[in-house]
Amino acid sequence: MSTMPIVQIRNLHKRFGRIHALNDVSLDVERGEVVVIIGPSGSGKSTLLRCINRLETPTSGSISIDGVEIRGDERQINQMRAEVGMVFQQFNLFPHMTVTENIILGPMTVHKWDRERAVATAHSLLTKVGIPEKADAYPEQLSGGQQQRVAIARSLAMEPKIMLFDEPTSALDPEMIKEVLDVMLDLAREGMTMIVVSHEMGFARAAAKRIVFMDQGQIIEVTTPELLFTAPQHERTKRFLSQILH
Amino acid sequence: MKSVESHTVKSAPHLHGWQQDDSALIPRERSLLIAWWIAIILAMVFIIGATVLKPDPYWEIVQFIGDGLVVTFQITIVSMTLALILGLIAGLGRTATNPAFNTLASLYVEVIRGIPLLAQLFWIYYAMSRFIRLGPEVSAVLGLTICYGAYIGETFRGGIQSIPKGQMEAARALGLTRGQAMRYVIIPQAVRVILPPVGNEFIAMLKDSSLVSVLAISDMLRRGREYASRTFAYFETYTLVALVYLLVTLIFSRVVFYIEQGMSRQNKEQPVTLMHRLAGGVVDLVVLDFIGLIVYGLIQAIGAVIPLASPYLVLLVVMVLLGAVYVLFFWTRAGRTPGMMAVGLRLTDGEGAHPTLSQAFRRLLFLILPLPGLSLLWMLWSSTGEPLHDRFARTHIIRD
Repeated sequence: MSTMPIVQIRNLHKRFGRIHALNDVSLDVERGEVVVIIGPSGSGKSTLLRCINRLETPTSGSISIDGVEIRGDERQINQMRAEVGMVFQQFNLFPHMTVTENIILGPMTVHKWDRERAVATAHSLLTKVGIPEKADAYPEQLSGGQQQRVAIARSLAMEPKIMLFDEPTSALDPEMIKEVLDVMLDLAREGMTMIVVSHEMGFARAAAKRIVFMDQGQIIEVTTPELLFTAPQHERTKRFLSQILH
Repeated sequence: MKSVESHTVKSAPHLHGWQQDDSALIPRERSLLIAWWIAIILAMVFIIGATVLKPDPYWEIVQFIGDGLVVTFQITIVSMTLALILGLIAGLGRTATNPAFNTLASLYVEVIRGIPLLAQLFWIYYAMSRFIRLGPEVSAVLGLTICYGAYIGETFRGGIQSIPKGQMEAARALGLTRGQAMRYVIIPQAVRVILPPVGNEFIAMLKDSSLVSVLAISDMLRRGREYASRTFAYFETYTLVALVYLLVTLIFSRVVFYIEQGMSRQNKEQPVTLMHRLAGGVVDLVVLDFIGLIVYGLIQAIGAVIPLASPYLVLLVVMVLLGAVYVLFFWTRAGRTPGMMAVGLRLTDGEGAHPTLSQAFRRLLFLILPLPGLSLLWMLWSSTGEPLHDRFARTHIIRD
């Protein structure tokens, strides 16, 4: 069981009307592995991520998480989502709740934890992401970087097996990117399985075991960070790299 | 007043993203406020002046249409409460993914919005009597509820859809079901968007309730008509009726304004003015009035089975008890009555702190006005045991 890939994606297709957002995508992610997905906008990176936790329903193909194939049924999907954390580009914190309330909502409603346990977890997670003093603040009182760190803590509170990051630093001011990446690096070192859509090459180099390059709904190339920069295999990869690494 | 206004402008950029406030760029709030003061002072000066200087017929008219104002309030408050429930169902239906529920809700909204309220009232009272005979009060409440349920449903739909898509996604990504996401994440946020337009619907309903006078219900307009048709004092009566409607509407429009303001300053310590407190008091008044009406109805129902010594004494005792519960609520909820919460106020600093004795006492003074529910007070005062129509006969005989 433990040698099996924790995420298995087989022949995944996703169509939005006439647009073929994902075209026959297959990918395995090992337990504890950090995979970074790069590619031009509209290449299907986010769609792939959103298919994994079923925020999008695939048109065809299969996804198995921890050996269980995910089908349409609501209960199974909710159960799976409790084990797969997701961090969004726009943070999506709940603005009417304090930071602590944001974090304890999931564990208390889904895992049925009592309030005491959930709050204790929330506080230790806030310490971990470096903002214990913001426990009673409201999201609007936080900077973008702080909000994103709360969002990561909110996902971690569910004690997920896998974390998905959908461009977690794209909406941040440059000076706040590092504080979020540092939290993600710590997480990677602790052995969390992470699938990250991001163009932060520094992070990719430091944490990623593999890099997936996508274009036009297809996986063009799967490589390591070193090989990506020294010896990209495909013409499209080269062109993309030259665009982002000016 | 000045400090509050400057604060409003200053806090504007810190509002939540979807509550953008451009009052700093367009200074129309101030001129609206001035217009409001002019209108309310003129209305009050005329009503009070005419009543004092020319009690015949104005004081008599005030007494006469006062009974009607109570009926107007009662019908509005009951219909509004039911319309809110119906509107919530319709609004959830309009945003539901279930196609049957969605179509049903949309059908209701489309059909009802396409028929004038007056036509609906006629239809329910007269046309439906072929199948089932409903009393005028039931017809009136049913008509207002069904009509406003559709409008409020649309308001709810707009409020729910104004919440960014990412909120639902974030909640679902945590493993919450759609229902849980609605309950904990979407609806609490939507309420803040919805409350001001719902307040405006309440004001609109208060005015539209004058339409039920065609169903032989003695609301304010009909009481005025009854008086005018017997005394031929058309000018005096209808002027007063119009001014009382205006006065009530002006007061409630201001309350809605404060609720709107309160929504955008939740969780912030801000100055509290007398106007804020009064606005909170008016909300409390409406809440208590509604509770009072339910209690009154229950007492009447019990009185029909078990003869009570004096239903009014019982009513008075119940209302005092209710007031006590209200004060207790205020005490335990750290200085917040529903009205205070609606305008976004709390008397004490921090969460869970109890108010000091003097704060509690001051609040108590503000509660004296709305305490037993104004419309019930009027009923206690005006009912000397004889129904409304007898009172008319009496006043009329005196005039003759």
